[in-house]
Amino acid sequence: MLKYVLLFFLMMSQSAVNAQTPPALILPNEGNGSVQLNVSALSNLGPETNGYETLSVFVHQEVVTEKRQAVQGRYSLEGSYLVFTPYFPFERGMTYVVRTQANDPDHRYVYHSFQLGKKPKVDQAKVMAIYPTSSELPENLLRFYVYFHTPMKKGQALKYIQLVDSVGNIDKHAFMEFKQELWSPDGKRLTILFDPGRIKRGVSTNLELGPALLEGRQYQLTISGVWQDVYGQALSVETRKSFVVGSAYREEINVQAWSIQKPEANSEAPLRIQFDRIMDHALVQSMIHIQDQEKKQIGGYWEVLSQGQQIQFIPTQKWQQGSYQIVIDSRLEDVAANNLQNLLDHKKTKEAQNSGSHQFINFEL
Amino acid sequence: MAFTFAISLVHAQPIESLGALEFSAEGILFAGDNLSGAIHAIDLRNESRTKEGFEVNVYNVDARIAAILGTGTHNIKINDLAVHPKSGEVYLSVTRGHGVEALPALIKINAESELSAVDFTSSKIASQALSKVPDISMKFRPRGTMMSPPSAKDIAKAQRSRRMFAIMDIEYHKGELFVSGVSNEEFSSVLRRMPYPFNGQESISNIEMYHIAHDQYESRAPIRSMQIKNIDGIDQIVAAYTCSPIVLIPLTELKDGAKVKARTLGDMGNGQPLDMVSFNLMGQEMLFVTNSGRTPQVVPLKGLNNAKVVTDKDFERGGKLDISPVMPYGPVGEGVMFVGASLHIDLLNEKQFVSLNRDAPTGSLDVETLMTMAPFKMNNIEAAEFDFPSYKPAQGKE
Repeated sequence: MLKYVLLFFLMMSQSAVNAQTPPALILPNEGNGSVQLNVSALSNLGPETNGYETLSVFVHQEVVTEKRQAVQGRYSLEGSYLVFTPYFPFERGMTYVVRTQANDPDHRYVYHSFQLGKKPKVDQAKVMAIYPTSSELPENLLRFYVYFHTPMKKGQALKYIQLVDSVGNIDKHAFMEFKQELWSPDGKRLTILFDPGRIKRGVSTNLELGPALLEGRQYQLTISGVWQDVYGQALSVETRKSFVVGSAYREEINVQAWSIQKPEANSEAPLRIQFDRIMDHALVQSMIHIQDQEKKQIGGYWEVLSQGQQIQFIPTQKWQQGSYQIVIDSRLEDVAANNLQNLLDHKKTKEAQNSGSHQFINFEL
Repeated sequence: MAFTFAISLVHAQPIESLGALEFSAEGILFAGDNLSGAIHAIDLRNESRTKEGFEVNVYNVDARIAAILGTGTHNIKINDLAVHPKSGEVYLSVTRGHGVEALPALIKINAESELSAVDFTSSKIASQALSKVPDISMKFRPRGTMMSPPSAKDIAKAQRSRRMFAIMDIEYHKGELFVSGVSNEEFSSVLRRMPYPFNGQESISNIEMYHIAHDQYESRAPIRSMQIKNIDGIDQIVAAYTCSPIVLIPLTELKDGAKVKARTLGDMGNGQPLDMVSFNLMGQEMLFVTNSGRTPQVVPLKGLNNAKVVTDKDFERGGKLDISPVMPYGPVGEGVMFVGASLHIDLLNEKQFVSLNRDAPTGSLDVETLMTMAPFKMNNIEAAEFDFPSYKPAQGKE
């Protein structure tokens, strides 16, 4: 009896040795993948060697048949790999057994098994966020950004997105209708523009229909739950964003009105900027950077706080003593699309200035 | 055992599905592709015989096919079987998977009963697209058995696309292909006729026939299986229909746009014919007609010559069940013993069939070689008198 137990352990240790030095095997994750065996260490693999003997794949079957045949496909030698590609794609839910030849004098078979990974689950369709997040927005608000969890079906946004006033009236002309909706490349962010004609004073639509938003009133932006994503999943629930309308932003962005909260030197504390209004949340993260006295940009990232009225910069390295500069691209906009040089609603006579010019705020640590 | 094809790709359209199979004597394999609505001619003329007098037996063939196609039996459907006239190897048309993920496969079983998937990438294939194939969205009418309302299974049956019945059977005869199936028209039972090599030409005839058991003229349901034979001195299609009339159609009547009245000779009774092969039994030419609802029927060709053609005038009105004294009617031959069902069948050699069988005792799906004279195996008939150890034939019987 002991003899057999010892023999058993001997066999186990033998296979453990084999397991430590297997030829590298690459197993597929997808149906159209292939099984690849590194054959550079296999001394017996000559040009006449049948790929089948060295590498073969079997279906793990519940019905055991007389003659067990391997999955059929094509063999190719790619670099140091013997590649087996089945005629028909591997399937999820099946267990496959890979038989490879060990690099030992007996060319014993070594078995491995694999299953394809689970089908990637499609995320649930839902509205993740609507910017600006503030519950009070200026009368001349230009745009909303709606973020979705999954890419949405295009070309139907204005069928599902509405501006509703406090008594339930829907303003069908509140937003600009474009042939091409303003989607991010991944189809997950939609930009909705209020019709600028209604915001700009004295323009015909402004005169006919009046502004879409009136100061002091309450509105809701609603997104229908019927709207489907590209996978055919409906959002299921209606999303509502309620807000009150405050006074219009009728002044250019003035960096002198900002207050800066400086971090301590030798710390990784954030630098904060408090604005006098709500900024465009996307532009505020890309149009401002910080540089040191050698004009080298400081590494780090911005976070938008206080619903767009504040941002903080978190450096990737500790702040050093010295002088710094906050560099503000003049194209930075507030939520009414006023920038550092122009108002959206400016008089025609005012010349647009060079875009891409900068303003600076200096500080010392 | 590499399966090599000669030469390059000729004009071919992608093979989307493989159904009905038919070989020419030279070894061109004609395959019906319902999904793409085309017939493909796959050049297998270079195949030759490696062995004489072999039998082909593959038990659990669906599991064996699943193994080489990297899947399970739930994903394997065998659509037809045909024997290569030169090599004697058996070809099976297979659908791997379901719905939009379904893929066609052609399986070869060689003289050693080994299976392989035929690799088309270097084969010479010519294709002809068929006209008037049913749109994929065309379905059937749900109906229950007798007076019962349709069950879930009845409804599922009705949901099948009529496109998948565009090509039911293919016969190659003197440089032409004859294809039975349904078209997209109301008068949907059609016989298509086209020359091979393909030249894009196709004639379509609508076929009407009198159905004895149903007591009605039918023009929708397609011919399930057929052979072309010289009967009464002319080449005629011998066709088997569902529930299960046998009719004749002279080839001379198959012209484009023709509305052809088939000659009804007989009716085996209710059931679903699946396949038909002709063979010689002791000097007599016979048809072997398989059926999913009846035992296989052996029909002597002799009986189809000079046979009475019947119409509704020849019978009392009303449908006829199998228990009607009228049924079976006509020169339909005899049902023969078969343990289980032969789903598809072809001649392996002069004296043997090769058949795709659903075995009755085990339910297994097998490819089996059977004698034409007695198409069954003793191993699935149990505990008969002969099986007992003390059994001795009666004196003088030996």
